Amino acid sequence: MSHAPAHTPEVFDETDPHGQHLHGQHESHVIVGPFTLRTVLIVLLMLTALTVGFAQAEIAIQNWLGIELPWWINVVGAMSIAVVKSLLVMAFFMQLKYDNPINTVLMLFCFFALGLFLMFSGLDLFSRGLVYDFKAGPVIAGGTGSKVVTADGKPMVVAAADRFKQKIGNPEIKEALLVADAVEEFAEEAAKKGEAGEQAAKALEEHVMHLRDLHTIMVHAPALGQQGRSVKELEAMAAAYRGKGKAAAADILAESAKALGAMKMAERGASYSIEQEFKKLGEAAHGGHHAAAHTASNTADKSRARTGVSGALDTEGAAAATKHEGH
Amino acid sequence: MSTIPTQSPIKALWQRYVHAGHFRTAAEEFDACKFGFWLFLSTEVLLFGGIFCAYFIFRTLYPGAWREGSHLLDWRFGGMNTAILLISSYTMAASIYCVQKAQFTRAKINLIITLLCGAAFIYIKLAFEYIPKWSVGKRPGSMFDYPFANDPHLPLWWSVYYCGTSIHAAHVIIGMILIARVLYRTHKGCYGPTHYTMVEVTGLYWHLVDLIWIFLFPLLYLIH
Repeated sequence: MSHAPAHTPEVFDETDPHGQHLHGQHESHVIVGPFTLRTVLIVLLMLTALTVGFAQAEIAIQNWLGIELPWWINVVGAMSIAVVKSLLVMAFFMQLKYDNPINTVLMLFCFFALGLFLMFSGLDLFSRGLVYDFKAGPVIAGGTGSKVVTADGKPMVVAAADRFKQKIGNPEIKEALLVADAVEEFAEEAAKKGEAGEQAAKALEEHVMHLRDLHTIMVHAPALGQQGRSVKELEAMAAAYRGKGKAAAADILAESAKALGAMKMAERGASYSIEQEFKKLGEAAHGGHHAAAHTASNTADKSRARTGVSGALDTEGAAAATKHEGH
Repeated sequence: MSTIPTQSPIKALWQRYVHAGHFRTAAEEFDACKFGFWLFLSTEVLLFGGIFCAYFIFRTLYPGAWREGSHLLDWRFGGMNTAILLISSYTMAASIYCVQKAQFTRAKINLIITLLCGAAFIYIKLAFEYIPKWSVGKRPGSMFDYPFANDPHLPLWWSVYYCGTSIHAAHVIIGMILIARVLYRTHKGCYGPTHYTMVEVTGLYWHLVDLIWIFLFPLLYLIH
């Protein structure tokens, strides 16, 4: 059972690493040089920037012209750049361009299988309406969510919101939210008092954001935000501003701290509404660039979708029943 | 019997490597290994194919949930991770070149950079994406607890998101283990210009990880 080595290592030939000249049965293995690899890397990074830029530009154009571009522009743009990038990776980094063609054939067959997979899914998805047109009940934006339910039969998103409302009703968090409301009022008043007032208002608003931070409330809830703690934090802010030579703003902050300390939270609690606080926390959580779009389009949608749940359940139930009869 | 002259009695491991007995040449062994690995990679593509298919089906059925979900992801973290993986793919390919040219120090430096990129990818994924999202209730399926969802199918979006990205992250970690092994064995002198099959095959695995992310990134972060 002896076998000859492919080549004698003593006479190693760099251009023929596998010693194929000894047998002449294979094409020699190509070594892909650093220049090619670097060029490909740069092109790939530029394409990444392009695909991000394309998605951002689409949003910017829609906002600027106030129009809604067809959905496929976004999808086709992103996916065609991804395909070009993957071809580059496979051809040069994975060396399919220089490799035994059988490997390319193998991959092409794999993508063909993937294509079949997607095609039959699509065939099913897009023809359901034709086959079961009696199933096409009233259309509810975003679907009904009736299949995504918790044990007590509520849609999961509704259950999550309910759990959260329960949580913000507990005394510690309630107090923290009342303090947040009070501090927000101070910020509004402070903002009217000129430049120093605006500086103070900025600091106060930061504290409000801290009190209403979703992560703080959901994870560290009971440990934070009681009235005394907030008073101390505002006093610390005032001291910091005084240290930076912004005496006027520091005075406003100190006044706010004093006023907050004197407040009776139980009295303020009389007008406390969980719904109101839930809404404020939602705005704070969504924050940033898409908050405006969300609140504008979704407040209407939300009520429609939520109230639509029970009605739609019936429709789907009826459709399911029809289907069972059919079988 | 010392009639056979030997030029240098101590040789590196890669110079002493002899291909397996059932192959005629080292080239044949190399080609067979690579073909086998491509076969394995095709099953990997099909594994992710299932996730892409789930994405396609649920996006078609519940476009509102997908639109809302992609707005809850920050493209900057996804983009940063794309760049990190592309750079690591380059260093991986460069390390293969270095091994082929017997530049072992440079090969090891490239492999270490690749490992660091992998670690950075996982760090960004955990510290800026998984942990903050999970803690505010943006979780998959029945674990969903995010109170400000507008679309009732948002839990499905998070199921697909976590499924796709966590299986991908598992591949990154497996790839890092393989690269660490290649690094150790390159240091030991196991790989060189006449024997680098394992380096190349590990490289293929790492590029596949990159390839999958090239598709996951636009699908999850950019399409809205």
